[in-house]
Amino acid sequence: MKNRSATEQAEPTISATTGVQGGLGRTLLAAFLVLAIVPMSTISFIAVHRTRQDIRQELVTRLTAVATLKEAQIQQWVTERSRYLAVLSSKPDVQQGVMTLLAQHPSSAAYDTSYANLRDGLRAELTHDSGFAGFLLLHGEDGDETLLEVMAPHKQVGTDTTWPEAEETSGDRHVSLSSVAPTLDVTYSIPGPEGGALGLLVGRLDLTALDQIMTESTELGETGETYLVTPAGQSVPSLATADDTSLPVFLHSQGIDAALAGHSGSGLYDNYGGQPVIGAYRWLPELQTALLAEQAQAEAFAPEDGLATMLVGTTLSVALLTTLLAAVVTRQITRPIVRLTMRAVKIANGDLEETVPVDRRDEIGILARAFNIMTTELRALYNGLEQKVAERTAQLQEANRRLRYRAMQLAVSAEVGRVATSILDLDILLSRVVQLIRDYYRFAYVAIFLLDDTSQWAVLREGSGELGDTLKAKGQWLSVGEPSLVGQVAEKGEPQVLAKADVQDGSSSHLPSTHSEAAFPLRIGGRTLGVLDIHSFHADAFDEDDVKVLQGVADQIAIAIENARAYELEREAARQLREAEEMRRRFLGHMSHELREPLTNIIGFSRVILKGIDGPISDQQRSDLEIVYANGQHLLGLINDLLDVAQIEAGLMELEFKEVDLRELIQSVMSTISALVRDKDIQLQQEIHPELPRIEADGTRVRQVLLKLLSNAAKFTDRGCITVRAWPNGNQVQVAVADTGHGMSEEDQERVFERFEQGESGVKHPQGSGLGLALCKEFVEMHGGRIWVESQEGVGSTFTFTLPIRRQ
Amino acid sequence: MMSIDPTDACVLVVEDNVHSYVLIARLLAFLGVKHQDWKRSGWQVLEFADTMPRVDLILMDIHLPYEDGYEALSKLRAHPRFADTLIVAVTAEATVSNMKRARAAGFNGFIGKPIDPDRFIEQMRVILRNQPVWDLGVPTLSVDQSNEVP
Repeated sequence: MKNRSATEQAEPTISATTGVQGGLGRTLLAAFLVLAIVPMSTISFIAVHRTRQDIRQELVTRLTAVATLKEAQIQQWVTERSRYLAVLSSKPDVQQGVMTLLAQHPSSAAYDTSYANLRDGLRAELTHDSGFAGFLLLHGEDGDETLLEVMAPHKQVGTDTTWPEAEETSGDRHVSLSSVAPTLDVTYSIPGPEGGALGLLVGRLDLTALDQIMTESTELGETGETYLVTPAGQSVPSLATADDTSLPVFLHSQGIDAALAGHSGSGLYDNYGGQPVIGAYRWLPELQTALLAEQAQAEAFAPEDGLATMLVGTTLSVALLTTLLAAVVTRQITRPIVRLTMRAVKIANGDLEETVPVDRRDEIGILARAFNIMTTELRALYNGLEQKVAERTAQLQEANRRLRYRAMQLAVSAEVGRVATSILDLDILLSRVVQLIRDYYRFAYVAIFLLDDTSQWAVLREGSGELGDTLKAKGQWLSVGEPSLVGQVAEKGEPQVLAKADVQDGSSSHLPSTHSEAAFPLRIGGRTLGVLDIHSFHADAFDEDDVKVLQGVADQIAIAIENARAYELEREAARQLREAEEMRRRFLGHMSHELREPLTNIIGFSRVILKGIDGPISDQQRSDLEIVYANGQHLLGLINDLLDVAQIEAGLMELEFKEVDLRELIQSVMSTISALVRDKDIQLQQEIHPELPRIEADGTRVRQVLLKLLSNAAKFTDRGCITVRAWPNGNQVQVAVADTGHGMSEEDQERVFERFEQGESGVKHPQGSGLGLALCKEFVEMHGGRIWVESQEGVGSTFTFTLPIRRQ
Repeated sequence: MMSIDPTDACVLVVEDNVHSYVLIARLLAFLGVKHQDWKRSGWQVLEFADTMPRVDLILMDIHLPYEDGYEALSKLRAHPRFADTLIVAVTAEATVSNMKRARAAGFNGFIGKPIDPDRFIEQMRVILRNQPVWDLGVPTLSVDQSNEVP
């Protein structure tokens, strides 16, 4: 029961703990991961960010430096070319040649010679790698007249072959990058001998050099480029997109536009080809050109991307490593805990045999060890408890069994006692008793032997079951003193027990399966009446306790037997008594009949004759007959009294209670009595209380009492008065009959109610049986009343009796 | 049962004592009863039951030879002819217990002996008026002076 409930309770616990097991691992793992990834990511992010800024800074710086360098180089190159052109323009042969050309007619030989000289001279200059691609000699203030044009055929001068208008002549030089085609011209005026300019020498710069300058190593990586853009949107050197898609005629980008607008700066933007770049740009006012130095972001930020990739990779690797490590560590930490938990759950479920392996020296190991110790203690405690419980249970069961057994013994004793007192028929009693003992104790066989009158034989009187009936029918006589248990006990009068009923005593031969026998004497007052013999299926079935209890039962049986015998005797006596009573009754009845029958006839016939039924009679006859009649009546009265007394004596007198009106009764009796006192000087008086109640009584007998008292009064009173008084007194009525007669001596008063006593006065007047007053007393007392007399000799007597109003 | 005039009544007396019967017969005659019969025992009554004329009233002594009045009564009651006939016990064994027994046995009335000729005539009248009479008899005064003689 207890175990069950523990198991039931443990069910939710198991699932809960199982949940904790997974949770713990996951939580640890997650914590590890978060711990590993968050800082690393943060650091990486910051590092990448900072690096990117640094790289950008550096890039911008470098690009700016490159732009500056290029600008300086271009400046220097232009200056050098300008100086060269200045030298050239101031050369005397050039001046001479120009003057000739100007002075001579173009068709003159001189002109031709000069022209040729000049042309050759300039050509020589071109071949001399002067950095020029061609020369132009212009004439006039406006320079609108071309004198000579020399071009190096192999040299790139740009796409535009037209010369620009020499609009400026004031300065030493004029440099312009053609806005239409990327050409760069340097113009110098040729000074005349007497001052003033002879014309203009225009040198068209070989852009190859510029290309060279621009494409010279810029240390800007593969994608790095520097170029110039004219306000017309043309570039030097000519640019191309990476994937050979055609470029627009006019180049545009954020940097180009800013530079063309005269701004200098740097930034991240998409270049003309739509490629994201980082670039520095500036406006070259001298050349009227925008200079841009750019590098593709992809390349520029490659180190940064690499770093980011590396950092991410590292982070991931570290995270992975951390995960693995965390998994291992978590497993390391949680496995024993989980194991511990599972064991704990098992233990909680009641399996205390479980232990937790201890293979660590850390706290978990300590925990496991402590847990094991705890479990061991618990186990020891539990085992001890179980054992104790088992012991206590066994003790309790034993006590319970003993208690039940004791209760059963008590029940048997009580039941035997009850049977013994309630059943008086000895046969039924003994039959019930053996049945009771056998059934309660589950004995094999229970028998009762009674000693015969000679005390020589123990005779089987009752046996349980069919065997008992069989043996009883057959008759089993065991001689007192024979070696059988019954014989021994019958002789010695002490209970005896045979552990193994191996002695054949005539009955055990019928009980082959019984293993112990006990016999108890049925004793009363030191006398042994018989033996209670008990056979059990079990060996050693009778312990000391049983013997005591069963001897007690045997004693009860003995008493019951004695009682039954006494009852039998009593019943016999009562029967005899009843028979005697019946005989008396019959005798009385007979006597009554035999005595009264003749008298009836005497009285009856004399009355018939007196009534004249048989015809007229003479006065003498009448007088005689009246004497016969009166004496008959008197005799009948005597006989009646005698019969009443006899009936009372025999205990046969019964009262017939009815509601009686005493007033009516008294008046009736008074009228009867009036006949008796007719010849005397006696006054009859009655004083009846107005509230005299009706009473419950035998009217006939009360009437008899009143008649007797009044007739006595009439008899013993010669003159005066006879008074009857009646009045209620509590729960009874009182009736007094007072006369003014002879009265009685005190001695007489004491004896007057005794039978056959008439007192002295009775002797003088020997009428009556002497039974009358005794009968009165009997009748009154049978009603529960009392009668007494108060008298004074010569004055009179007062007889008083009481009657209960209600029958008692 | 209707009330019967004594002169029309048929009365059967069961009495073993001939003197007692004569006394009763004399009194019944004085009352005016013309039809009366006499049997000595209940057994005789049953024997002549079928041949007997009408019977209105049976006065039966309890103290009878062969069988007592109770047995005779039960036999008479068993006979269809007397099942409803008035049967009054007339007995000298005038005790309360006997009267109770008579009542229980099925008698219609009880008159204690000795028969008082003065009262008997009146008792007969009452019975023939079909009114019950249960009378143990008046206790007789044991005095030497007799009652007034009418």
